[in-house]
Amino acid sequence: MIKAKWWIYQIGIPLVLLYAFPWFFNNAHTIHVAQTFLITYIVIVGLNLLVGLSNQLSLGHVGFYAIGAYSSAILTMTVGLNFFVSILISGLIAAVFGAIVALLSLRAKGPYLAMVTIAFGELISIIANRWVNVTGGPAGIKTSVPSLFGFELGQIQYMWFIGLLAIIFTAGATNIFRGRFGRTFTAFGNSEVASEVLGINVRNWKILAFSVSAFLAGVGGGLFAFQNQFISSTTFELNLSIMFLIAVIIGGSGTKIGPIIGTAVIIGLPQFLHNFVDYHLMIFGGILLIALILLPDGIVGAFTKLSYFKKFSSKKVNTDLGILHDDRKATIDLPDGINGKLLELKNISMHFGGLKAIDDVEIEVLGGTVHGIIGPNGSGKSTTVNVLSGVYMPTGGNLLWKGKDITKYAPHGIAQEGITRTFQNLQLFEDMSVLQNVMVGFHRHFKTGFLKNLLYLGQVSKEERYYAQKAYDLLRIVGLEERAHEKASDLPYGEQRLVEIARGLALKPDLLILDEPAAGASPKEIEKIMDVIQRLKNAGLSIILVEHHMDIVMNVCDYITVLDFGKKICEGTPETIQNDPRVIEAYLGGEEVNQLVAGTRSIG
Amino acid sequence: MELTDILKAIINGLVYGSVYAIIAQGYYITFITTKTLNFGQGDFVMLGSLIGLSTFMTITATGGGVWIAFIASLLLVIVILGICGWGLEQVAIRPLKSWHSIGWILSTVAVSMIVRNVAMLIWGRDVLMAPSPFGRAILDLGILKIRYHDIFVLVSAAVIMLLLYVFLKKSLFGKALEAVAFNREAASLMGINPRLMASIAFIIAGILAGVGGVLVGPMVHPGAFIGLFLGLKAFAVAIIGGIENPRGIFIGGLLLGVLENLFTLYSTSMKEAAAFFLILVILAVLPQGLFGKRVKEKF
Amino acid sequence: MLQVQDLSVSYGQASALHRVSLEVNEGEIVAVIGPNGAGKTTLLKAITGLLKAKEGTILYKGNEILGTPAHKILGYGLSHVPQGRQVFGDQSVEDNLILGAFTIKKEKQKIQELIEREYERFPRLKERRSQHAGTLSGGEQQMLAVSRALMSDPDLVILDEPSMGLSPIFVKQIFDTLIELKKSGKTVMVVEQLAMAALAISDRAYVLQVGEVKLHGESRELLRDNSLVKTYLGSK
Repeated sequence: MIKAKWWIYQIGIPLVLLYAFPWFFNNAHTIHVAQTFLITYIVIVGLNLLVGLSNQLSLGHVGFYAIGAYSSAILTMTVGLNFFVSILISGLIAAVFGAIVALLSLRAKGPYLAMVTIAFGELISIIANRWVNVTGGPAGIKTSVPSLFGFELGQIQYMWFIGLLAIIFTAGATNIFRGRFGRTFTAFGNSEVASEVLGINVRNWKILAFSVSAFLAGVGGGLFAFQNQFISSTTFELNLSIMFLIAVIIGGSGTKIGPIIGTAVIIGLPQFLHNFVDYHLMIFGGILLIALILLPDGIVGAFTKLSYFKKFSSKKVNTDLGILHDDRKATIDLPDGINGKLLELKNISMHFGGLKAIDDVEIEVLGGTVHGIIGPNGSGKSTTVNVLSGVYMPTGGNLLWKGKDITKYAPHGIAQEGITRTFQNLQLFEDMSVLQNVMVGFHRHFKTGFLKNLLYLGQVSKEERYYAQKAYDLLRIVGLEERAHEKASDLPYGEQRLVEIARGLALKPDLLILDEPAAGASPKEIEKIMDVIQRLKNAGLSIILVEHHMDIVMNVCDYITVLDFGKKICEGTPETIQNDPRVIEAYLGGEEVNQLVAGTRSIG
Repeated sequence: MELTDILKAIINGLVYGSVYAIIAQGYYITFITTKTLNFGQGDFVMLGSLIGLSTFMTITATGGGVWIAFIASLLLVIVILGICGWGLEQVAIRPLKSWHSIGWILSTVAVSMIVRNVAMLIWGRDVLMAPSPFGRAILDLGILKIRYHDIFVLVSAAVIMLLLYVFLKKSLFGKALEAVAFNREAASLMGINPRLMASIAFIIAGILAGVGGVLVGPMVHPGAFIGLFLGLKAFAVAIIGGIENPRGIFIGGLLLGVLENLFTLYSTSMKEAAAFFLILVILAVLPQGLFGKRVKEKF
Repeated sequence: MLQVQDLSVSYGQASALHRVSLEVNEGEIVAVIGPNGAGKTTLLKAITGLLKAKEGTILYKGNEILGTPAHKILGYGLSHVPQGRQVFGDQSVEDNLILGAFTIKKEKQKIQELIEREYERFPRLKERRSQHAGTLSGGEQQMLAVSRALMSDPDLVILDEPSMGLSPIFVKQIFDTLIELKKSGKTVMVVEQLAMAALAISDRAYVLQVGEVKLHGESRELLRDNSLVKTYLGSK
């Protein structure tokens, strides 16, 4: 549900400002600058979505901008479409290229990702420069005066028109920010692997993020094509991509008002500096450098740190969705238990080059049990968990889930089957609140699509409230309801582990893999974690528990598999394991070692 | 098309490619030690070529010999660009909170803007003519004519690669630099200060850019705005070869140089596009470059 | 020689060590044992400056070394053999040794002598002097790691799980080396998971569990203590 306040701040005030602007600054130059500001702003909103939320880098946005500009020029001038229609189509064309860039850059990281986007941008600008028949090259091509319904738009009207689009796109972006799409973008930007094991197909979502971002850049380019009724390839150079990125970072990446401020800086500064045109680059570079050093979170980020501005803190999505704080007993929503074999590891091996991290391991996990996997450092426990959750594809053997072969499934596929995990090295979504972290866990249960979220229909807010409530209930189960609205990374370690457990439960899993859930926790927190695991066990959840704290393992597990040097050395009930000499040997050192070291002395 | 044209294109490609490779080694050295690199490396190259040119012209104008002028300008460029590299690390890399964010991309770009502006104020906006110490002398091999400067560049590139190799593998500081790159924590347990090594890495990167600039000067027309194109080519070379593999970078440089010049035989516009198209194809298939290591992440 | 008092360390929000106190006297071998995740590695890293401690003091020969960056620690005569060996895999065995002597880089003659001394200690290393360290077997890498740490001629050597992933023969060899080091007047502090073997060669030991010292005393006494197995395998 959209509140009146939203209409006023998001639509009303901007509209009034936009309409009133020409009355205060009625000269052609200022209006032209305002147009440029608004066009650039639209591009920046899109780039902010990509860089700020999903942590992807693009130094090639000028490519999408150019594609938008040229296609709308061609569609209008050659095909004869209305300019507005052609701009929207150009946005879509740019979006398709966005998807292509996303596909090309899927596996590239760091400087390699930067290079993919740079290469794309450069390729487009070279084509713009050289394909003179179509683009006119540096000499440029003419476009028409924009007209709507037979009316030609004058300079001021065109500014209003761009402003209107900017307001609409901002509203859409805000809606995306606060719903499940924004959450998912942020999630895979924070941790791809954690997103995957919660059922998010990161590849598809990256493509979506790039496409949306490219769409906005394309529309911006289209609008630019009609600003001066002329475009030339000299506009579309790498420098412009860098400027776009500067706007995002200086404004405060991932914040809602960052793009306005960032755009104001890159458009406004040259205006102020036009008397110092010879020192332009120097001043700009100097300001940029100082800003990066002093304000690492951008201008908006720096302000939100001051307590007065904290309530406007724009990185947080509003999650106070009318959660009930009643005394109702929170219940865990779990699928029906399964008896018999749930998961089977058949001769699973994982070799890295010559290293046999796990070798020919057989494990059977029965439904409704807690199955422990233990072993000394380097015995292959983590590798086993990575294989089970699809993070690694085993080099040998098969993984059977309820009799079905899931060996080749990607992590999100395995999550869709109902298996999820926590991480030994915590993989929380750090930019989100505790409640939002858990809400991401419900990913596979959400139904509303992109368009509905863009408009934030009643259905969407209903769904949001429903899952916020459910997430809150899960937090009550792990005892963290008080912390629901805190930033996840601010919690103590032990509690962060509980958040990961709650997030995993949100998936409504058939099998939950806990990877060292007590590592780094204080004794008090360990007690809490143990209690939670015990309660989950009583509720009938099947669990695989990898843990070093033997008190937990011996008390909670029904059955234990012991690994050493990548091989299964024995398995059985806790009593059997505790008394098995092979286990004692694996942990404390074997007789052979002791005798070698100490001559005849042995365990006393 | 004749064989001579193809041979000529290949030689030309090797010459350009080896200059790209020299500049790109600077990316390698800073990236392995700090996981950052100078996105404005190209502007350092530009600075090197212009300082070199001015020194060369000043000395020859006052009656100094060509070779004295050349060596003096090379030495001056090494000193100044070394200082620039050190300064860059101080102002644009060290103060940033996190090396993993993309802040360093923008902060080094910011420095490059300043450098470009300074160069523009000193040398103006236009491109200049830079003479080679060999003048326009040409080696005539019958089927093929090669400029002496081109041969000089090839030989210099080989010498620089060799020096770099000797420095990294044989000198104690080189070994320490590699140790930091391989394992920062273990290196500091040996008493090696990783921050000092970061400074040294950037100094070397600056010097490589400067030397690259001196060599490339007579091949292009140097001017305040040539940095972007050179930096971009060198970056492409580093990425194609695999940024953590110096030999890969060298091969990548030669490969890109030669392919580019072979494409020129068909059309000059294809030359420019081909490089970037090649990069997209390579990275789509091998996201770590041709010779980069693949790392398996652990969770 | 080394005095650690009330040392607490945390990783972000995670508490890894809680008010740990221990002492290493000159000429001793002191073992720190305990199950995985007890904080043994954290303790060593805090001592040599790889980790920042939250509170406490670390005195080495009477000087406070808490907060000294890792690369300066070696200058005090304290050398750390890290867990998992961490040899420089891309460089030759001999280069690894030379890097170990980085702090005395000027004294070429002495470095050569030290290298010869280490080759005498582990003849295997001499055979493989020009081979890349990454191509050595686990046991050989451990020898190299120990030798590399000795190249600066330290007074106190601390080792983090030198037996990890090694076959018994190599464990024996490494442990023998520790006894030899003691005989040659050096002080040794060793963190181990092979508790029994570590107790057998050490003079005194500390048992760490969940970031706290649970037991400490003469190694001979601890060997007879039945509660040790329980700390490792839990109780039900």
